[in-house]
Amino acid sequence: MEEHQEAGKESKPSSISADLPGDSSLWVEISDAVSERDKVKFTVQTKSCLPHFAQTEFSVVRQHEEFIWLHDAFVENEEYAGLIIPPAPPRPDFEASREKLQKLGEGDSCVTREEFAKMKQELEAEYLAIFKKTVAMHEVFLQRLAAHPTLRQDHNFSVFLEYGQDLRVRGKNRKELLGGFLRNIVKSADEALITGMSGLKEVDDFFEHERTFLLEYHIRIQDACLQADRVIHSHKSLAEGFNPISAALNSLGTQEVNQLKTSFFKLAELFERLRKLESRVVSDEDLKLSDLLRYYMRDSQAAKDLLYRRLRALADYENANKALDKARTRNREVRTAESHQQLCCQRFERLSDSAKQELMDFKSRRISSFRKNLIELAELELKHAKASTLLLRNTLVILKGEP
Amino acid sequence: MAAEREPPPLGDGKPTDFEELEEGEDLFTSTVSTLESSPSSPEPASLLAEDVSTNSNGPKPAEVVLDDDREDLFAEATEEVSLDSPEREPIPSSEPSPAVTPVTPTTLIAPRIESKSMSAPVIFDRSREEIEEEANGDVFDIEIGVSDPEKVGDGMNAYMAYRVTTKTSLSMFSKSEFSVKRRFSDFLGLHSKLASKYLHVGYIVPPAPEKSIVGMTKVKVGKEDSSSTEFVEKRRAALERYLQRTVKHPTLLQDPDLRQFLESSELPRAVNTQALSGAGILRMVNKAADAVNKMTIKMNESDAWFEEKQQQFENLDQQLRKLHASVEALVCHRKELSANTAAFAKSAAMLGNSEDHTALSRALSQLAEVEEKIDQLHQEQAFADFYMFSELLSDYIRLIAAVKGVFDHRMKCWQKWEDAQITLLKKRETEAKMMVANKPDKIQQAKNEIREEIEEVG
Repeated sequence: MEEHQEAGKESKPSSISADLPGDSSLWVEISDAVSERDKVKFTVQTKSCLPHFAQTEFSVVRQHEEFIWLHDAFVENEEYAGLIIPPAPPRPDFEASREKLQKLGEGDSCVTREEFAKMKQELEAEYLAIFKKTVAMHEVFLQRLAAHPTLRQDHNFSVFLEYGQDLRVRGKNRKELLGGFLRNIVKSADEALITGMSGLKEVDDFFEHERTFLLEYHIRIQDACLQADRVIHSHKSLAEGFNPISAALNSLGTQEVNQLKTSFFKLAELFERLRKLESRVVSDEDLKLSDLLRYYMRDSQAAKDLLYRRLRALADYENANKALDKARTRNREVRTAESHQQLCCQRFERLSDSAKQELMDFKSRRISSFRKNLIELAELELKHAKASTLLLRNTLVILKGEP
Repeated sequence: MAAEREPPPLGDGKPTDFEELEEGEDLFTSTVSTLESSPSSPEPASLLAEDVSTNSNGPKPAEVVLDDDREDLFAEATEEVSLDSPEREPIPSSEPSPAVTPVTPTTLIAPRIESKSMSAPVIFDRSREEIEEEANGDVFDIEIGVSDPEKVGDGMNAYMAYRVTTKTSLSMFSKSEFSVKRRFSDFLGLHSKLASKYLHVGYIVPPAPEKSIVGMTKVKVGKEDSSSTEFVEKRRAALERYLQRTVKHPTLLQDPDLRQFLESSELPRAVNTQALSGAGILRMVNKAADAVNKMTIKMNESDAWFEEKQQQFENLDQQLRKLHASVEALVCHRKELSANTAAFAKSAAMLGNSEDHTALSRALSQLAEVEEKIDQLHQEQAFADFYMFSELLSDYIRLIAAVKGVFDHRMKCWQKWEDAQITLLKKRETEAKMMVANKPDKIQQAKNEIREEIEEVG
């Protein structure tokens, strides 16, 4: 596998989480990334004037598994139960392009040399695009953590940013993965139970509304993300389909003479250019639309998790109330029950407050992000459409004009 | 070469003059006629095909340089086309007025066609004057449309009937506008008749669309899904193109069979085009025999022109096939894209519905609408790609197959000629022997045989 050096400081395509609070006391970015074999190594650079860091500028090398570890650490931390934990970045997936490269390398005898070179170029461009995307996603994750007033102060986070050595975090082995899977099942069962419980009434309208909204929204956005992916995929194969047409027209043109020859060559060139335009359109759509939907799918899942935690706290609170009542009637262990109930109450209140804040943040973040991306998408589509109309019109003129 | 091109003086109807003209010249002018008949769609590719068609008719004089011809062809073409345009209004009375200069091309052509036809088996039973008159009367003005596919009958005996509408100002037809109902086997029957008459003379008869058992069975069974409607539409378009191509060819247009096909309301059922009939099986056996023959005949290609042409056609065929395959793949992908875009549009609409921020919700629904429009556009584009590009390519691939057929036929003729020559030689030897042995009756017999052979060789 080739090593791709990511040119640092170039404009990041990540526009998913827009308008992070302009707090420059902690600035994190992925300045470099290197791909080896199966692994991608990110160079995380931090600039900070916060007191608990030893230096003001430092950088470390991290791998994907370490990001996951950090994310899980946040999720499992009780203190952050009232916050939306930024979703973990997806695993860098070069499978598709790796397969294609292999197929290409095996050598297809019916493919001419020019076609081979073109396909190789395309493949490399695709690989680079996937690479950039995965870097952007990891970076967004870190930047959201850095921007959040509470989360940025986490000890694990500082360790992640600072610790020079390898964190020696192994990827989850099978048992842990299975455990995680089971936990998810338990969680959803629990949720169903809680909501089904007759005694549990949602006190706050705000949360009730949010809950119904989020549930529906999550399903819909999941569906939209899936469909968008399919559209991108078929659009890509359409763009690639222009290539063999162009090649065939070229070979037809070499056979002919005079007018027909030039017409064929012009057509071949047209298809070649169209292909480039179409693939640019596809990659833009992918970035602006598909990635947007995917990110907010994950984010809404995180918001749902938050709501679940709050609900759980509410259930605990209710249970504590019942226990207190029972203790009061029996007049035994009232004190412990009282303190327990107090704790639960406090926890619940705390969660509710922060959840409210978080959810409103989520909403505004989502709206501005959608706005930005959709506007950019529309502008780019317009630009490309104008370019391709111009191209088609010019070619038409030339083809007609030839006597 | 230029001298040969000069049109003979007008009104000259003596056959002897025509016979002086070389074969080569005839062919060019008949090509020119086809050019002028289609001023609206000067497809360069078709020119190429028809150019060859005319040239394959016989051993060409060796001094002809092809490139020159083609350029001259184009030059003549532009001339004729511009001359034609004022003629577009149908001239009501067909006066044989040689003085009318614009009519020059058509007068030229008709008589020449006649001389061509004389070498073919007797088909025309009309006098030369008639043809002249008719050619004087109008231009090559005939429009054919195939429309209204209707399902007639039920079950496995059902068939699709197509309405063939002809609008013409040619005087050889009794009316100027008429339409008849035909079914697919009628078209195939027409093609087989034309092929049997003209193929061995070397014309390229446009190939008919292929039979498709799967497609027709679906239609017969009555499945009203989109694939069967698409199939019917595809076939209708192909039949229309087939008829238009056939009609463009001036010789084929004169054929009474074609006229009968276009005009008469009842046509004898062409039974021998059915797949599972005696004639069908005979055809298959013939095809197999031909294939074997092709492998065994080793024709000494004395004419380099033919050799080159055959090579060109092989290459062209391969490339067209490749292009066709990639265009079909493109159409398929586009259809897929259109379907996916429609699904995404729906999904985006739902997302917009569930979004509670009004502005964003509106934006998302508008996105959904735009995506729907895009889906429509993609569908239209896919249709256009298919009907104009892909079908055109497959038509040309089939035309090339027809051209190859003509080449093969030429090879067969050559082989027959060779065989005849060899037999002639043998018979001459026998005659010589007889003369030496002095057997008078045998001599007579031998002489008879020789005469027969000479006729066959000629």
